Amino acid sequence: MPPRLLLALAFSVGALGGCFLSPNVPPSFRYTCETDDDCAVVTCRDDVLPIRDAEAQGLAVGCDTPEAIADPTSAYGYRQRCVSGLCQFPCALASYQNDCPTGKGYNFCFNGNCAHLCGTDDARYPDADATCPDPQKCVIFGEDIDLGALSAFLPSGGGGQSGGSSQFGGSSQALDLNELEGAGICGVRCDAEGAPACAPGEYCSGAMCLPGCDKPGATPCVDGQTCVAFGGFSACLATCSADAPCPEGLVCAPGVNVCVTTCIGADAVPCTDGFTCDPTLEICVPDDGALTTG
Amino acid sequence: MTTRPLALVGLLALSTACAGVQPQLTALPDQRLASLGNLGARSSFEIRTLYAAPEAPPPADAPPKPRKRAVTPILFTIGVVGASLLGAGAFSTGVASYGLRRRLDNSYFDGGLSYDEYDRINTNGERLSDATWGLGISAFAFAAMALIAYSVDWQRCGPLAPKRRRVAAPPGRCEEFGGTSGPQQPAK
Repeated sequence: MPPRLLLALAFSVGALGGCFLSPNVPPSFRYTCETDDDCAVVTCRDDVLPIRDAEAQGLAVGCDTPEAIADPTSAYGYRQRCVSGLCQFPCALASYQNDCPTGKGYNFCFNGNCAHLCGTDDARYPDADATCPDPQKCVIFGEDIDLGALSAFLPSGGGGQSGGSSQFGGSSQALDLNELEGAGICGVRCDAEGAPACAPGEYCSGAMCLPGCDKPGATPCVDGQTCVAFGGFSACLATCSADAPCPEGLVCAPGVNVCVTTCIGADAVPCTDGFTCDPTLEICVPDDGALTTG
Repeated sequence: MTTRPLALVGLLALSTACAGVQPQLTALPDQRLASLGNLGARSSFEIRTLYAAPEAPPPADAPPKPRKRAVTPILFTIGVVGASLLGAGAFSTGVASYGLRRRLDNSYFDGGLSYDEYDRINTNGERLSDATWGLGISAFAFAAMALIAYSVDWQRCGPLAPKRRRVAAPPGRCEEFGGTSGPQQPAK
């Protein structure tokens, strides 16, 4: 081999190997785990810290406290849990924008976990499942996930589908379903073998858990909550009674004894379509009056 | 008044003129040898090559002058060996570092990585990377030392210099280490 070629080869290998820069971790990658202790928290300074270290340091929860604002390293805002052998951030479909760490590229809440999009670049990654960590698969919107059913839980103006809004959700995210069609989301289908059960008050719609505690096979509500169904929607709401009043900003709906937002007063929340504010009950009631508990 | 400047001019003329006067040649012992010129004067060729002329051989009974031992071969050998060993080390650590990087890339979606595994691979990779740079720079320094040693030796026609260098070197360059300058007679 000519000396010059040998020299160039040596420098090339040296440059390749010597430049072991911290590799860019793919956004959809999830660290493996066996227990929650194998996972991490995100501190208020946006540092990723193992849960073991966070507990050893006595980090507090929440970044809005004066202590956390003064010292962002003394508290954490997000905590992972071990689900299906992967460290994931828990979330709810209606509030994933607040539940998932900001600036990490999370696009959606799929089956209770913050998730990333996949299948958006078929040219470079023809096998979309290969871009998701095992055992997750790329669940395609429009094929595996019924956009019509999903749109009911998204705010109106959700993009081309039959927009709707949940009385219970209070969701504020503006998700354009038109952009999602054809793409997918990395996650474990709820109907897959060994998949974790849906969150309380949700049911498995095929691949994705959707709110609906009155649906067949839905996960029961937790203790202290009651499944309330009206207007085609159902949700688990906190029960209340004379001995157990509702938290501030909520009122105890008579008859069903669940805490709901009030439509009168300082904490009033306007009623959505299909609901009317009852001045006596101080809550929004369905126009057809169909309100059931289960 | 007019005689004084004339006297000064005359004195100046005499003094300058006298500076260019060659001293009288010593009288030759025999007038018949006058055509040989001054035998004590050096020609311009002799003056130019005066310091390049080889020294007179020492007397036979004089102790032999100790030959100057060259340091450059030692430095050259150390440089080559050091550069080779360190270069091989840099190559090895570089390959290992690259292998760890590839292992990371392949593990993201095939087999998975825990935080501990990722941290361990990342830490080892950065250490190997640092080692690659350190060994590489050290190897480069040793190679430079070997090159400098060889260059100095070549310039002085030392033991490392090729034979043709000693033959083609300017006069007086290659005697220090026992070499000879100038055109050599071909071996018969």
